Amino acid sequence: MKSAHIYMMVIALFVQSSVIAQIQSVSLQARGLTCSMCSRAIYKSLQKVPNVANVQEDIEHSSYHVQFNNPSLISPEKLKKAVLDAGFSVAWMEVNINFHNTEVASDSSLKLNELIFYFVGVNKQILNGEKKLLIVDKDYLQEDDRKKFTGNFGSGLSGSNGEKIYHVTLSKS
Amino acid sequence: MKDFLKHIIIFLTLILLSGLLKAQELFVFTEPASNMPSKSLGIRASNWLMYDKSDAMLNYQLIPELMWGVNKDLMLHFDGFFTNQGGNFHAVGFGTYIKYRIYSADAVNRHFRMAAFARISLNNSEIFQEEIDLTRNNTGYALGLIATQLLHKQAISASMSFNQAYNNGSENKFPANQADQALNFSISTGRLIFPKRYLNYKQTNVNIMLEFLGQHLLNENENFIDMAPAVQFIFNSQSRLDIGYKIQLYSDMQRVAPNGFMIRFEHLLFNVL
Repeated sequence: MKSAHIYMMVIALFVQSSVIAQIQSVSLQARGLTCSMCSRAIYKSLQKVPNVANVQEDIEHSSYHVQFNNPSLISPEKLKKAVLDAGFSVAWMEVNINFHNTEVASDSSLKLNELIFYFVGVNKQILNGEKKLLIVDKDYLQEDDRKKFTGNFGSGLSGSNGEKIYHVTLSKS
Repeated sequence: MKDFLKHIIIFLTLILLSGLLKAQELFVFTEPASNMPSKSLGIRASNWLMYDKSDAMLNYQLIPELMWGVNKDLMLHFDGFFTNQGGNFHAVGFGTYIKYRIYSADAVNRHFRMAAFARISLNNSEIFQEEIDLTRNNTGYALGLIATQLLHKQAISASMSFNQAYNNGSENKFPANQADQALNFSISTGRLIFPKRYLNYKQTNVNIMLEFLGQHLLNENENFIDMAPAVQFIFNSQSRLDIGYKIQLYSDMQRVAPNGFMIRFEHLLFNVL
């Protein structure tokens, strides 16, 4: 009985250490609108994206908080397309992630399921708790803000197994 | 009446120019350069109630319209033209309108957009004026450009189009002594006056608009300019009621019914296609 208990603790430890980070939700702001009809068009478009469970809107700031049925299977690309289909653009998009002793640094990457996050403009550090990763790829951030991040990277790069690569930095807020 | 109108116009101009209110670009008498959301359908019914100078009657025209956001850049309108001209209410034609977004630069609460549009209309009503109107009276086509600048507090839109009129069917030939080509131009501005703060989609929005609409008949060198103030209610961020009044400011061409009301209801169905 005692050995079974230790055995389970070892498994628990192993599982814990393998779960380095978990995606929680995505926040984004749209640009190019001021009317509530426009804002609702984006809201409706985001709701239609597969795997989206709930969208909370802040109409005054044209921002949206998106929660998912299965957060590990999110697609920032589909969220971006939903905003474009409604007739507008993305001002910024952040992926909210819960970290557990995860080391990050510029020019290093973090693979979470089908997504690869490639860090830019980040000092080497260990992350714990909920942090926001700002996507700095083209069409995910306004051009003026993107200029701060040097390096010539485009969106749509794929990993060796077809995973989508997103260039991200840590949000200040 | 003239003094009353003057006061209303001065009041509207002051409100529109004051820096207090948010911009709105869902214009009543013209289309903005922005498109409706893709995969959505819009249903619209425009009611024109115009004073007919020739017989002191009220002309009633109904234009039902189906609008389709094909993708983020392309939208299509299909409309029918009905009138009470001649005493009985009947259909006189139909048309198609295509708008394609050719440029957009977005910032938060700000954008500049340009769109190209084309219209084809078939109409078999009698031709009884020099003004060329492809949405109500004439068969023909139009090609044009729209530019809309939306700043946080001010939306200004301008458009220009070339219009070519043809015979209205075999029975109503286009008069040989009239110009069959025209340039249309417009300038529009709009403001949100209520609510002061957007908190949810159920709040009713009240917008006011002021538009100037003009036409220049090519070859004849004749012009008109109309002014068109309007108030707009948006319910549930999904339905629209527009009440506009169009008044002629200047004209040296012959027009039958330039002044009157336009009342429109519009409903948007999101993501239905």
